[in-house]
Amino acid sequence: MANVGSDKPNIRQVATIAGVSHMTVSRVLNDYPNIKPETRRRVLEAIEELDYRPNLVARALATQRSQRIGVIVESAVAHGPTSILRAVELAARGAGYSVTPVALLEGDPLTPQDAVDSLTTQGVDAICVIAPRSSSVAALRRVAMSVPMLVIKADADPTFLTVSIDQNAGAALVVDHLVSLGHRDILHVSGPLDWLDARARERAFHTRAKSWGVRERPIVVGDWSADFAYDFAIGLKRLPDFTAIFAANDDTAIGLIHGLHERGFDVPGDLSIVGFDDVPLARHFLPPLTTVRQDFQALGSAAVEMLRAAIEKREIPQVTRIPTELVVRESTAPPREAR
Amino acid sequence: MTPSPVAPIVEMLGITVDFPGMRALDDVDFRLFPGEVHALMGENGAGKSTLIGVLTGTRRPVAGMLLVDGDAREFSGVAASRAAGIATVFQEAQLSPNLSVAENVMLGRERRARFGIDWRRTRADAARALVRLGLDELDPRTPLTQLSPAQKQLVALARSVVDEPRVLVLDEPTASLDQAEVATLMRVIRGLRDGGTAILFVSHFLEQAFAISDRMTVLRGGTKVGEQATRDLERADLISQMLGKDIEGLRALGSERKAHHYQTEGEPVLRADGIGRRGVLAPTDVEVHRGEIVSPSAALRRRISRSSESRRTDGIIAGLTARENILLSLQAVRGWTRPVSRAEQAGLVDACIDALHLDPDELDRPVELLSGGTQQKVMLARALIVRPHVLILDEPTRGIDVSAKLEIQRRVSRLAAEGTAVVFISSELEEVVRLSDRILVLKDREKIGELSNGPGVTVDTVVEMIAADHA
Repeated sequence: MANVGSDKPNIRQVATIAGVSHMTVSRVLNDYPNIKPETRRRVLEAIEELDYRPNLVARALATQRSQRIGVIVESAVAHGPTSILRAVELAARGAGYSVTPVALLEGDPLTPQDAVDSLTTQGVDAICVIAPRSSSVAALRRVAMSVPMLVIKADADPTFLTVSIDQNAGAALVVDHLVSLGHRDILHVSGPLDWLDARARERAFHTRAKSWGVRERPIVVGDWSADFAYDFAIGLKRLPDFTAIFAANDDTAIGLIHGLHERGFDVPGDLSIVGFDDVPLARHFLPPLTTVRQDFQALGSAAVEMLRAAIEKREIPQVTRIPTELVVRESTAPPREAR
Repeated sequence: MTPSPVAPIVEMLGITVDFPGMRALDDVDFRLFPGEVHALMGENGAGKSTLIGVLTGTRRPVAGMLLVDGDAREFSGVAASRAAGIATVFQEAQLSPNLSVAENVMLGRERRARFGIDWRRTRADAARALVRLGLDELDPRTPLTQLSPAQKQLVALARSVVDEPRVLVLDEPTASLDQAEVATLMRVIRGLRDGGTAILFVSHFLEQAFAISDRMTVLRGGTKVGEQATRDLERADLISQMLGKDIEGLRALGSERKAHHYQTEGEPVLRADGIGRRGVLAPTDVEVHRGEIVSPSAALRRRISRSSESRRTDGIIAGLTARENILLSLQAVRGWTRPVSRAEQAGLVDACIDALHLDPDELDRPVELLSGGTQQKVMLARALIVRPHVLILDEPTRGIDVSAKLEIQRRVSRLAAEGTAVVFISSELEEVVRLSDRILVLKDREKIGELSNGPGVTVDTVVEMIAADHA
């Protein structure tokens, strides 16, 4: 009815020009399998010729799909969750989906169930949850769902469809790099261990360091902040026995270097420092930071690919771990005794 | 696996069991469905063994009902519960070393022929039981003495399932097994489960319970605190249920260490390399430095290096006064030929009274008449009077009131500040996080990591490290 007498081309005109039924046009638009390439070509040409734009709401009614993905993100102020949200949004847009984000903050009266309910009422096709902490995952287990859900979290899970950047491999790269330089006594300054990334990096560090026979020493539990790391570094009474520090993120690494510098210790002359994240500033810091690059873009694409497959009830691609890359800059060197 | 549409084989309702002076189980409900592995979780003393005792007929509840297939039952003993299809796995010690595998499996159930035992049929039935467990590589004629501990454990299991029980109780079945042996046992358990047997599984190994079970019931201090599908259960939640603190509460309890005590001075005063014990603790290195408080801590900590012998010799001695108990250690160090003079005694005991806020009037009363808190202080005083370089405190504040507890904690801090190295063992994580400089985290009888205590550490940190360790 809306199209009667309007200038906007409609699906029936496309069908007429392509010489097919309007059902066939619809099937082409919705990427149905089993359409002859020749038919598909004719339909696409007709669409181009008429400059036809499918009406998204009408399309949603016809397919029961809204082309919208809900994203629930907790601790949305931290670097990791924010970067992941942005990456998912960009990848979704590229795939023809729009994103409706819901942020949950600590102490938020909005529960994960509220967030899921509000998104499903808005008719999202699927929900992606960015769950950085163990408590976020615990809350999800009790949530009732009516659409597919993907959880971006650091460890695999029997209950959920998950994808994440390979934290274990990243931490192992750091240990291997330091060991290959000759370090045998390495301190780990971790993030808060209720963060899944922090504990994955800590466990991987522990296992890998042990396998190399690196001296076992107590870890220092930080809070991701540069301030914490700075305070720890200026509290050192003398040049420590350990010759390298694996910081759980770049902020921690930068705080450490600042504190060590103030105590008169040289990085990497006295101590090698490695971070994790590869934040944009890492390469401009003095010394430029050796760190692990997390490919958030690849993570976003994988997440959206999996969600689309789930929505369209196709086989879900099993890319659950996105590889990391060690970026060697100038904050690491052989240990002091070795030179 | 959602067992709800299926009727439970065993249902226990409001089970209450009293021991002299204490309630061991209080109003506990428990259900066991066919074809499931149900893990019963809880710390030592939570009531697991008592609940199993009720199920297997060795414990009588004072209240509550036990239903088998919906019928109320009361078991007069193990035989009655067996007759109802509930079997417990015998410990390997209950096997007969000088009999063969087949004889052990069929012990008490030998197949009869007209004249005595039909050995061929007995052996065949034994072989069938072994095949059913996937243990066909085991020759039924092998003498038991030729088997490894793990194989004996499996023979014990075969003996329990030979009558095809509907319920099988496995209490710490993996305690003496290595990893490969555990894997074999797990395979056998899964096979039985898939055949419809209901399996009650008790283990101190958190990861084994997670790997094998479909559901978990958690007991704490004799009450049931949770029952949930294993796949829906967060490790951190399980641990906090077992410890009795909700996870939000745990997060709030922070360390009182404002700074890290990271750089210790000099060589360690105590060093233990590769201490361990098969089935109790995997080989672990421990180092303690001057002025440092180190805490081995875990949700499932079992006794560490302290043996029961030393516990007895370190205990208070009834019949002696508190004063005599305190002076005992000094006398022991001096040797019995050089008595401690009265003046010296008085001076030392006065110092203890001061340091530990002991009541002087109580010192000359028999020690067994004093309160638990005072007894603990007497023990601490006895340890302190010899001015030790290293002090090992095993649960020094268990079962005493809060003010006595705080006093002991304060005293321990002061000692460390004065240079004593302290190994502080406590099952209360709050206390560990408040007091220690370094925390050794143990899980499933293995050290999984060490934390330097500081502003970023909370009780939750320890719980999360334990929970994270399953990759």
